[in-house]
Amino acid sequence: MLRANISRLGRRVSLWRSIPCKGFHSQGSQLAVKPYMMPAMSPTMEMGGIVDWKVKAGQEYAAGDVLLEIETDKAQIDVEALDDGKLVKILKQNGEKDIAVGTSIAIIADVDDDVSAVDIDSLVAGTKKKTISKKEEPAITKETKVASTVNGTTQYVANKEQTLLPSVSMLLTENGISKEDALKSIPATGLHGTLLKGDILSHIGKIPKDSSVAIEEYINKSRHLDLTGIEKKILTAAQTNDTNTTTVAEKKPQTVKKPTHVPDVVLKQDIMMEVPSDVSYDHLYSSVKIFLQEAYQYAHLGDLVGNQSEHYDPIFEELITVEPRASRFGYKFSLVSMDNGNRKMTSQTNDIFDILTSTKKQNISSMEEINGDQSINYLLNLDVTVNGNFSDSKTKANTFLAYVRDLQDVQG
Amino acid sequence: MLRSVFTKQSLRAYSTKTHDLVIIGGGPAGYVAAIKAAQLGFDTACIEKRGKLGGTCLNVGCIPSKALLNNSLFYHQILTDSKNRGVDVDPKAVGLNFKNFMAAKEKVVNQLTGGVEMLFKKNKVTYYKGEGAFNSETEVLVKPVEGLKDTVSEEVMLKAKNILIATGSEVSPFPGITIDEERIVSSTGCLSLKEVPKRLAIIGGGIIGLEMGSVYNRLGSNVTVLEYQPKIGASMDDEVATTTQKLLKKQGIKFKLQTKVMSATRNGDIVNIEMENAKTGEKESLEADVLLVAVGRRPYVQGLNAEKIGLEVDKKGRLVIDDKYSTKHPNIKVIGDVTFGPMLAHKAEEEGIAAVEIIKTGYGHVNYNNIPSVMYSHPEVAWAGKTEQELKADGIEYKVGKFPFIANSRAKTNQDTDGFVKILIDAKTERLLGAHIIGPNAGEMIAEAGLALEYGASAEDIARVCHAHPTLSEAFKEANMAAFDKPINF
Repeated sequence: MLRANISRLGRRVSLWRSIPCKGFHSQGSQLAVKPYMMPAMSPTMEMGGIVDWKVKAGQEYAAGDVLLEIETDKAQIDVEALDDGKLVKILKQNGEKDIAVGTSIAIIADVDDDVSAVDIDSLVAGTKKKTISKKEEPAITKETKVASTVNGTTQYVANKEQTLLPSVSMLLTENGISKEDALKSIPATGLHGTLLKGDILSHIGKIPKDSSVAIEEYINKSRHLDLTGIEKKILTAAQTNDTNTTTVAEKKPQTVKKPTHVPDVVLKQDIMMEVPSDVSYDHLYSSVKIFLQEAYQYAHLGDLVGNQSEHYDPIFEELITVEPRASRFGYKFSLVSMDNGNRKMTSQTNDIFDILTSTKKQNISSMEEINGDQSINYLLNLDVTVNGNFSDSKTKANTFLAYVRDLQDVQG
Repeated sequence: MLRSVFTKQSLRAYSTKTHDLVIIGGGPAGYVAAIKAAQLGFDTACIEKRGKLGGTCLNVGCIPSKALLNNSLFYHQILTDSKNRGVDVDPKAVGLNFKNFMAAKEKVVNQLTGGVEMLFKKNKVTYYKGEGAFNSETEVLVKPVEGLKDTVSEEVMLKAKNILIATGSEVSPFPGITIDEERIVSSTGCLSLKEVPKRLAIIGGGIIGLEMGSVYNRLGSNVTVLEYQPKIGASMDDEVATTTQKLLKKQGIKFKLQTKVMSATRNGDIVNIEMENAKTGEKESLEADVLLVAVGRRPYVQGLNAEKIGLEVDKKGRLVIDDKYSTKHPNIKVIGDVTFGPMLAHKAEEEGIAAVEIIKTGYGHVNYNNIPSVMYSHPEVAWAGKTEQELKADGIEYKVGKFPFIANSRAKTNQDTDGFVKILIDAKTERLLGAHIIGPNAGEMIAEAGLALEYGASAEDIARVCHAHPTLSEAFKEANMAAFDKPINF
């Protein structure tokens, strides 16, 4: 049974890039016109929304064309067509959200189908029923199983998007078989529909025809635990009678609680700066901006508390830090001039500390001729929004502020 | 009214907590499952009564034994091997500080178990230090463990939709022999001996016995391995097992195969062992300073109160599961040593992830045909997939490719050339069926076989992958060339 599981998984993976209407083939449907279902773009995807249909109703498309863009809770993904076809009707429009995987979202047909002869409405009604019955089963159903079983034998369908193994590639070239033909006509016994060397050797008749399937079936037997012939006994006989009859609700895929979001905190900091009059506002602004970026990076650098310990290991710290690269806080700043007046801009330095200390030096050197016009006061207004999702956000934000307050301290 | 409500509540001796998933056991199966579950968004709790996370593997198994193996090899090589390499060492100046030797091991264990606890914090797994016992199919009572630091202060009833049993295994006792962990020890005691025994006897020539035998042999013990079977190395490929035995014998370990131990008794500081030859019935006795009993492990369910919810076990005491690790109660799953399959930490980890994914999505993946085994002797022994004897028994036509490390340039430069790589492929399709390595760093090299097996590679596919030169892994490539064609360097 685990075996079935594995092949289902394998099937699912190859579906990420293909279209899950295949399942309907394995159901033996004779219709060339068929529903197109919400694809699973990852094994965990349960719902998705439609961002944009790239193909209009009635339009034909070729294999590889982007049919539509869908969104999941993680990303927006383009869905490509596996085969050539025609989009007959769109059932779920742009912008519709929370569509369960496997729900019919459109009707598609082969390029040369006469669509007018088909009763689309009854087809739509039919797919609705299927969708409902599907919901009662856990996430995976036979419809999405790719290593499909027809009349009790496993079909080994080659994955069309595989990179060929070196041995396979060489054998195909030697025997004049194109990759396309190989993928179309040779059964693939490898993982996720990979063509193996044995598959090609069987195909070209170098070895008996069933060799590769035989060895795959042999290997497959030991892929799962042998749980046959277990002599069961109950741990202690005493209390078993009543517990035997206990019924437990069937397992269903679990819904998951999202972690509660801790509200963000905003820290405010005002810093007065005395700046030489020859520094322009723009110049000061860009210097402050560079400095704040530096402080922001410094604060995010690492655990600055623990690094005195001899056991401090930056790689280990990073390993145990939740989302080490995520931003712990954001900041906004404004720079307000407290004086008015036209000043010349001559300063060349970009370092905010040089700018600030130059005021002091100037003041000291020119003690005797104190002149109000020599410097301007600016107010740096800083809002730091602390990200409530991380326990170390506040520490990091405070490190940031302490770093920034150096601006004040340097002025004495 | 108020008062009566109050008394009723105080009658309940425990508080109640609800989680999405409760995991009993914090070993490789349990802790990996806990972290994975938390990452998948479940409110997860893990119960552990040892006091430290990591289970047998981290505390008294794989990890401490590897520390002892590595450091004993270091010591042994300085003593015996440095001269051949042009490094003159005065043997009188080389001393073993056994206390520090053990302390180095303790340090690693503490760092790693502490690391797991940090990972719990990082992933927001609730950790209960205490003993978990079933109260019903959806309730587990956590009880404080006496004398355990930071144990739960009072009994806590955990309610959960899903429960995962990962209680692991314990040392199998040997009928008639009492383990006192001083002179007659299990693997646990053998990892914490007070001194190097002059004579160490080991019952069991499996991986544990041979690894511990290697450690003390290198430190100067006179080691004798007693094995009931006619071969050592448990499930090893026969040819590899024979070579292993030969190499270990050369290092000084004595082997008594087909030997049935009848009794072992402690007399003061000496252990007297009585045994007989399983074939001839000839009786023999052996005196040792320490006897290690390493005849395997058995499932551990003590204190779990699994009988209360009627869980089933098989003849060997393994909890019975279905193909989705579920017990008769679909919401209770079992993984790791306490259920079926090889008792290996990495197998347990895989199951931990698979079980949690099954709870979340309905399916998970463990390939039981591709679970590597490694013995960390010197040289190391590692294998994955089928052994030659299995293929013979199953009637599969196969081809063998072998490459000795004596012909590998890196092994030559390292002056470490014992062993070989042995590749088994299907005779017709040339698909890789098994890989067996005895040689330096075999445990690392087996990962390549794992990938190849998983993706159905043929020997040619492996041989056509460029391997760096000079590396030991070239031997792996050459063995594959030997399997389907011819090797270049041999």
